[in-house]
Amino acid sequence: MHLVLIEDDEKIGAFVSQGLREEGHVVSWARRGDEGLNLARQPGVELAIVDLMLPERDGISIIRALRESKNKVPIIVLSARAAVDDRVHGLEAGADDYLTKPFSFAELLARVGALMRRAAPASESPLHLEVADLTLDVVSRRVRRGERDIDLQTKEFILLEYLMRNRGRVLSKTMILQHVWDYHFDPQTNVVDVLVSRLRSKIDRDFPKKLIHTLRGIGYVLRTE
Amino acid sequence: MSSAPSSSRRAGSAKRAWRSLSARLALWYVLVIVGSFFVAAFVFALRLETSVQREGNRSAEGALERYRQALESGGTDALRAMFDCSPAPASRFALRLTDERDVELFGVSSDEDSRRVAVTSGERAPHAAPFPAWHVAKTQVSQQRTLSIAMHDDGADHLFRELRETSWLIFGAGLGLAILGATFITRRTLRPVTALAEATERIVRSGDLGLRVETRASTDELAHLSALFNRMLAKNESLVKAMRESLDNVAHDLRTPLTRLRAGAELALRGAPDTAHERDALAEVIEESDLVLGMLTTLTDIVEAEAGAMRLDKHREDLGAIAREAVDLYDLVSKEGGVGIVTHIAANAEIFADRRRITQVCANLIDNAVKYTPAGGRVEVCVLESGTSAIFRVTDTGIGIAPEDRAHVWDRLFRADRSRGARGLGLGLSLVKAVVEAHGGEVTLSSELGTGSTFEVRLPRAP
Repeated sequence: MHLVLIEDDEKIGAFVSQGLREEGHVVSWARRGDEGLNLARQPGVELAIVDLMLPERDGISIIRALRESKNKVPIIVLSARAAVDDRVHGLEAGADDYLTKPFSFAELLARVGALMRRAAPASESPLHLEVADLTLDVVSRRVRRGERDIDLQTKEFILLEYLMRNRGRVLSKTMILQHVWDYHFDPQTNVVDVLVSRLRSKIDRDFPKKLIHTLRGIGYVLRTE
Repeated sequence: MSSAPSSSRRAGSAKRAWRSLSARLALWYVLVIVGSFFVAAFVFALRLETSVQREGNRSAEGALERYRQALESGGTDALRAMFDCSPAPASRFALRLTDERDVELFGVSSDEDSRRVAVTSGERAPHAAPFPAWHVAKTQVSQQRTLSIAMHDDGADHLFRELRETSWLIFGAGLGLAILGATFITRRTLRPVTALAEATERIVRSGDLGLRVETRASTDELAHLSALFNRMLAKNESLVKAMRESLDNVAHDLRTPLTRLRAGAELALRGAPDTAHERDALAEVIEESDLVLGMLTTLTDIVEAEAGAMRLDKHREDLGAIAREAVDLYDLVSKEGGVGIVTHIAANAEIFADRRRITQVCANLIDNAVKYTPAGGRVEVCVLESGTSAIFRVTDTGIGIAPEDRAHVWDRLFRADRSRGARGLGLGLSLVKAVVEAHGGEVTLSSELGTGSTFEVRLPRAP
């Protein structure tokens, strides 16, 4: 997957491009607006990550230029300005998503993934999920680990499905809050920790092989190690 | 000092003076006065002239009648004899006798001008005489002859000259007085405006927001303007002061978590290399920085809401639904802590509000209640309507708030001693108050130490 990153801050740029490369993407990184616009216009580019404040040409103008030339490459905006106005301007100019700095890499990755899936709508959304000996059936709402049926409450089920669909991918607390409760701000509560620990007690406690892992400070991931 | 700047300043000030309101006002005064003078003088002169003319023509007609009688009784010889023995009725004078073909049969004139007047004015109406001081008249005598007379009125001529001179004198003096008066009146009228401008300039130049404009004890518009201006200045001063203070507070508030963050990292670096320990420290750094970020966001929100600058995306919302959502979020946490949440939600509690913000208000209050209620306790969430208000009320059976602390719970970062250990930022209640007030509502607290607290949010109901 070929991504273009337009970001003038060396540290942030290095952090994002390295992270994306580790995920198996090809990243072209531009530090200036004009250079970035040229890179994004190249054929084969599948997604652009654009900072708003850039030398030479700002992010909004890059997005406008791309959209005016009928370039439909998905765009994620990065900005240090959290004001609603900026978000609206970015999306109005033609961006597909918006992330406020500082952001967690897990969240950026999740949004990149979401946009990729949207770009390739053929991707399957299976109704039956399986990770190791854990199975989840979306339609019948049945969860089994090994030979045992596991009874989950609604929120626990939503969280497990979310984790299983994103197996191997780290989910931040913010992402879980948004997905499970549709909450878009930090309520300063440990509700995610509580839900995860409940789920863990039902899925992992009685089994030697643990599936749900905590990455302190980053989030949670479901994987077989 | 070079002269260039001062001369340019002079030019600038001249330009400013020309453009200034008082100069223009004075000019208009003067123009109006001069205009009125001219109109008055014109009308007066016209009336005077007409009346002098009429009077003069009457005397000319009298004289003509005497000459006619002499002509009818004794012919031209009698006329000649009249001129020989008695002086002419005016210093400049002409008398003509003409036949029906306008051939002069007899003529007497003191000078050529008089003769010409007699010749031309004979054709015209007496009131339209070309020279104000000339009076003319004519009459028919026997044998289809015409006798016409022209007389110069020396007195009228003199009168008009004097009148003209006096008029110019009055005009000159009036003009001077008008200029002086207009300048004086406009200066005086505009003095409060000038004072206002000067005071503003002083304030702008010095940056001293404590300065005020002087006000007069009057009820006119300008005194009102000065008073209003002072009120605006006072408001600005208090706003700027509040902003400075809140900036200081924000800076101060952020120092503590940043210090913790730095200390954690430094501690990890100082110890012996130990990957597990270092990873822990790094995770802690991320957690602390998220905390700082959360604080920053909340503080910005509070400051914005308090300053009335918070953007509220208002729609018609069901307060009950919002409350249910917030309760749902805390359902797990409260069960974990052994605290039961009971809800009583009335229908029809509709408000016109920013859903996200009001959800935050409800969540913060429930969070607060759950946090400070020991295991086995109970939190009651009620939504009801009362008159024009929609009410969201959270009652807990927690530790309560001491009377001396009650006024301070809204202060940023305030934590009563007994609640120091709890997780949180100490910003939640400040945000609640700021957001509720930004929505035109109010939030109140009643509490009893050891029994519990009740927070009540009153929002205006949607019409």
